[in-house]
Amino acid sequence: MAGISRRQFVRTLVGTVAVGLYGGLLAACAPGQQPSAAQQTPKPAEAAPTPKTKGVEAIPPTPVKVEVKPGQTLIEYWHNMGVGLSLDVHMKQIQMFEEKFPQYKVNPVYVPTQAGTQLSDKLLAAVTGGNPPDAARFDRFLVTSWAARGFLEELTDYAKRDGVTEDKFIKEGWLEATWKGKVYAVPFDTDLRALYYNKKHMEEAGLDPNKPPRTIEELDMMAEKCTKKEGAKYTRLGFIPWFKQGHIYTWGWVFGGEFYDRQANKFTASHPRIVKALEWMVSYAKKYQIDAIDSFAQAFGPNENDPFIAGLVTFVSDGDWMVANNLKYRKPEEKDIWDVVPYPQGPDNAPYPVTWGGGWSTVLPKGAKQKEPGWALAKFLGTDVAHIYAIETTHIPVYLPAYDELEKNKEKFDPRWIKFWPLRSNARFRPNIPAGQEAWSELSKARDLAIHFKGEPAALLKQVDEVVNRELAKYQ
Amino acid sequence: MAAVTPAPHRRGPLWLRQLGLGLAFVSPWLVGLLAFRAYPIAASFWYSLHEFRGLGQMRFVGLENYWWMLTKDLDFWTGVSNTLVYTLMAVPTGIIAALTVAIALNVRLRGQPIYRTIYFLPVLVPDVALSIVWLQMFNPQYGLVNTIIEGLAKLVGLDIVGPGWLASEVWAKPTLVLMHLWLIGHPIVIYLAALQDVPQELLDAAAVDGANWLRRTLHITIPMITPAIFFQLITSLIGAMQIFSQPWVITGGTGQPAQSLLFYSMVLYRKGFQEFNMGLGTAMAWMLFIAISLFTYLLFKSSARWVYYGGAEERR
Repeated sequence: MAGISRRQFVRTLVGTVAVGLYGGLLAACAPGQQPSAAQQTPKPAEAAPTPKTKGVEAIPPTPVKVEVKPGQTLIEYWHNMGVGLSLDVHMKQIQMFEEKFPQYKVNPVYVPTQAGTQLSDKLLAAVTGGNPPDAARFDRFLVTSWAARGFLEELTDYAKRDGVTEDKFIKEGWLEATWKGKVYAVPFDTDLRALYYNKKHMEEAGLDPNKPPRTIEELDMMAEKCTKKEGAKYTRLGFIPWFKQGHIYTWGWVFGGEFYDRQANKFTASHPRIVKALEWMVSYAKKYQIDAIDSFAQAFGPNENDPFIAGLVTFVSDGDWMVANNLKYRKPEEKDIWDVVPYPQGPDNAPYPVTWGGGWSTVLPKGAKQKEPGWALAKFLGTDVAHIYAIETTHIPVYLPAYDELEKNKEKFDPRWIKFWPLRSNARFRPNIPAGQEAWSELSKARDLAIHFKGEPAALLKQVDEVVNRELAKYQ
Repeated sequence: MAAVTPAPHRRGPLWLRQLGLGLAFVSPWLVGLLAFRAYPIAASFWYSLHEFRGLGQMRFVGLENYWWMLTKDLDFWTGVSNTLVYTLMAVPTGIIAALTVAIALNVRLRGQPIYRTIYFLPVLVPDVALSIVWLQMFNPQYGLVNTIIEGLAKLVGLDIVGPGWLASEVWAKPTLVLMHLWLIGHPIVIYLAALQDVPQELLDAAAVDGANWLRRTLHITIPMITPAIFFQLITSLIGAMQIFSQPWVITGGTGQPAQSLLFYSMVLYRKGFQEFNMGLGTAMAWMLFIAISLFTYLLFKSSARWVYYGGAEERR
């Protein structure tokens, strides 16, 4: 190599590689770039019953080329359902839409949602890049956050025109789809949570399987009796508050706390009863040793490996959709060994019963090119065929007329699912605030730190309030 | 040798024509560089000076995003400390492991190409797939690693419980380093090439002088391949400080347990793409750029003391 020394060559090579790597880093941070493909993990709160492995959602269905006939309009629709029951039913809903509106053809595209948050960062990239789909399935508690930032099309006029109005939906479910009185989504479904329990485990522990815990104290006592250990390892844990749907929202509400002061527009995670709920969760981390619990929880998976279905836990906080999963994935001889009960009553005369709901919606991302067809699909999924999804996947409808269909078919349903229906009148919903995402993430972080003894619950929750309220202040 | 001063270029019509042709040939790459690298890099710096949600209007805030992350953002410091600890663990172990394996693979024996291929194969597995496999392997309850550890312990009469690996706040980062060691195929190839380049006559002369294999390795082989070590040091430092995919997949973006796997790039990604704070996200990217540049500069400065360029002329 004439004219260049070995030193110069190596230096140039190192420099070039370094610049390339830096460039990649900085360029990746510019909006409009596609994010990494590696962001699929279990949902935190509103898992639809689609099979997933820990850390990654199920393998997406193979894209099929959609044939569009002359005169048909193709609707680009993004959803986040991998494989499984929910996807099958959802595709059935879409097929029904195409049959009712032959002028439309839908191209359903599987786009996984984000890690523990349900966010679709691909959708965010598509919106900022100016090329979003016509409609998208969207976690409803994030609608306000996205609407406040201008990422969603307003649907108020369409809703008024077609009679999609507040009185037809569970009130809080509808509220979640709005921001400052304007409509940004059509609610799709809701879901409610309760305490699942294994009657066989209770019997083995000398407890009456027909008397599930009515108070938190009883739950603590029963959990201890049902826990089993072999050597230093647990083979069964009676109950751990944060497994499955055990968010701070869950236990904060059960303990009688309130997360949001609407009048003052302040997030109130440091409410004394929420602090007490987190302290109670921490007491489990101490009593059963957090390292051993964490190791035990690594064995959990989806479907047959769900900790409750696999018999690894006796009591678990979970959602109504798990009724379908229990029916599907349990061995036939185990079909009657489990049941569901409202959450036990929290201390100090906390309200009872209490549950909380989430749910999905259909939105038109900002910049959607075909608004009318997108709206037609969103409306159809949220109203005309809402009962189909509810009935076949055991999700609670958010669309009130769908309950008429449910009532008509009551004898067809598993009685354990029916137990969820009346809970809707006691359901809390996450505050529909522009900082909903921050609230969720910060509460999850506070829980993680608290149960690993990285801070006092009161201080950690105060920190949550500071972060969320700072964000809220930007949207006064 | 007498120095020859090159004649100055005459920039006539031919030179211009050649320049035009040259630019035309490289234009596809140039356009790509400008559109997909240079522009986003420049734009990211511009965004870092603004409050910007990714869509809509930007509000100029000067250095506020930088000030905020340094003084108020707790996640920023969690990310910094986790990333530095990981880097300090992963970079030296990666170099030592790759060098050791390369030296072993440089020994002439039957089936040598097969062994080399085997060590390179893991590099071909995508990060995400690899993360899932290791997640299962390191499962503390039923994973292969603990099954082996606990099984071996039982053979010698010990009843022990294997580490919590990725489920344990203490073990999580070392586990990630172990996973990283699985991917040392690239540096092994570079070291092997460098090892082929070590002058045989030096090794022979040392052997004649009575130096054993260890002394020859320490005093001849390793000094001669320091440029390759330097190369791996720089690239693995940059890689370690940007670690993202594996912990993101493994923890679902949460960084749990106890935020022990919340690395800097994950915080950066969260700010930009989950909290819609592109201004802060890009400011964090630039802060990382500055930090990596500083470390790289220091390593370049130190290289004069320990990197030996055999063919280089001494500069005075």
